[in-house]
Amino acid sequence: MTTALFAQFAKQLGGFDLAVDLTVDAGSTLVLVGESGAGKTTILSILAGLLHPDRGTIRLDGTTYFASEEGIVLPPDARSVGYVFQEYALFPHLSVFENVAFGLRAQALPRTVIRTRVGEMLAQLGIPDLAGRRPAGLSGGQQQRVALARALILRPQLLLLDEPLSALDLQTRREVRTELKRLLQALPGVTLFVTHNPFEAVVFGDSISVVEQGRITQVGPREELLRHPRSRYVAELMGLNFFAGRVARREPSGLAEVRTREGVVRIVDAGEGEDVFVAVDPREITLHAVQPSGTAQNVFSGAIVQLVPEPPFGERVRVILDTRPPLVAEITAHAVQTLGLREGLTVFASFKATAARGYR
Amino acid sequence: MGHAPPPSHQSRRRSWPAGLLRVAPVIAGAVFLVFLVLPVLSLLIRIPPGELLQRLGNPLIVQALRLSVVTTVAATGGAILLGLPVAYLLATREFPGKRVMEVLIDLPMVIPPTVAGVGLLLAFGRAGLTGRALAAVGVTIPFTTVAVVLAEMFVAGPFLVNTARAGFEEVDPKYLRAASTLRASPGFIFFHVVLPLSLPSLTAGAAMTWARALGEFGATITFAGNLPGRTQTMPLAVYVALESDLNAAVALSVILLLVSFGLLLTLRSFRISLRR
Repeated sequence: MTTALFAQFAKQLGGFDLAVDLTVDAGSTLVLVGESGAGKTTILSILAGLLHPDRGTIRLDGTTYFASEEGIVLPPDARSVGYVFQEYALFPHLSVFENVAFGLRAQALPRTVIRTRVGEMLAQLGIPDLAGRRPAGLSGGQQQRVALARALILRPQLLLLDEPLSALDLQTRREVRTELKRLLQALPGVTLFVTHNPFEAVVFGDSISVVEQGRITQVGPREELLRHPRSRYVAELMGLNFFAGRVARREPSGLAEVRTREGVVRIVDAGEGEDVFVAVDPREITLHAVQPSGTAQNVFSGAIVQLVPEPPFGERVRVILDTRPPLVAEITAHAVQTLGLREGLTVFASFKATAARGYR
Repeated sequence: MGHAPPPSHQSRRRSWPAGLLRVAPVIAGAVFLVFLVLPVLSLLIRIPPGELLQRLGNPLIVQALRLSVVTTVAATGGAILLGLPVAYLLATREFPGKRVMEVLIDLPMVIPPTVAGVGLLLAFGRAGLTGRALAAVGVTIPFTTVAVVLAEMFVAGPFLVNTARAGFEEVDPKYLRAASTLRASPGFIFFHVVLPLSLPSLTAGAAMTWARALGEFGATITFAGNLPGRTQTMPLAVYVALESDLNAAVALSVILLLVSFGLLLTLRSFRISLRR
């Protein structure tokens, strides 16, 4: 596959320095995931040309949009970039039809062409009956579709989506998600999708970049991120227990003892090297009221800090433990009842070495 | 047990200023309202409607009315043409000397109109800064209808610039960003996003400008004189009539009053309907 978007730039911001390095293939979606204020929207603004980096290069499909070395700065209206803003920013004084037609009118295309293309676009998004309405009278889901139609009608090579689902209520979000996913998969260009929601990141991202404090701290295919987080932040995003440590002892059986800052874990050896990351799925952790006598190689005891029911129905509960190392277990609400778990109670937590994957 | 202190003089003394505080604004408000309404009412009841209509046919009045309409429309148009770019510049750009420019634009609103008239006379008069050059190409401005328009523009223009600027500043920049990502040029964005979104303010500004121009007196009489049919606008005609025919002055005043009232009322309902 050809690299369609290449962006490498830096910009000094108020709280931190933005330093970005992205390459995205045509036809694929890259998700930028991170907490609000991490600089995700700024990255989109820079790609769209609404802001300029201090230095760097941005190229899309062989066209240079920005190059500080050569002094190239393309204005937003000269870039093939579609932007769906967080609150959509639909023009309040224009009808849905006129909103979608805006980009074509700005190109002074013939009236008949505009009418046909807007009609097709509205039909493609399933909103032909909204053509005459004003944005103020639309639901969140409808507004989102209009915003998409408005951005897509110019057939941009790069589509930027800034938290496209966050302005929607839960019910609508579920409905729109599947549809949006299908739509994005069919696009020939590059899509950049910004979200703070790790679940959305996994659903939409062919690959995922984690943005922390203006830096991309980890980038890779989503499977890689899910299985092998390389920072506590990413692990927490993905809901995993995470340790960074050094191999203290190797056993002939293929197991290894890893010493972390918070305690010792026994894992399936990752091979050579001393430094190792360990991720443990919270569902692999079993809780016991008394010391277990089973085959689990890792047993820790500690007090329950908090019980957090998982959405949507609370059938599963995350149990945050004050063990060494600190662990989060995910068990069924039924198990919580049977074991009589409550905050403050001291319990035993165990997991097998085979559930603790070591990697580097 | 716990006994509440009996109602004392002190608590009663504390209660009467509170009562006064409640009544005082109502009284003051009523007095002020009467003060504002009384002159208006006096104008309205002085002449019966029949006579008013009859006087509307008086050629002097018709002349003044026509001149006022023509000059104020021209002055408002001129202010829009020259004032909108200035307002847009002030709303969207930062540049050295911006504060000084703002003060210069506000100045005509605070200096006495007669002073403005003298200034205009010195600038465009025969002996003035540009007057000689203008005279050389056969253009004389003072004491012509053009002078009336200039005087009105000078005095009323700042109203347009300031309201339009506020209107431009109110346009949420997110719409401008959205428009520029839709490959719209700055010019297209101005005419298709900025202008329509600030239309309520622009309309209000234009109406205020027009109303101020309609009431212009001091600068006009100083710079343009008081020639019936050429420079004698409604306010000037009122002033002249006051010395000869009180009822004519009243009739002219009532017309001006009704126009102003109608303008304000239309503006109000227009803004409300836009807000819906």
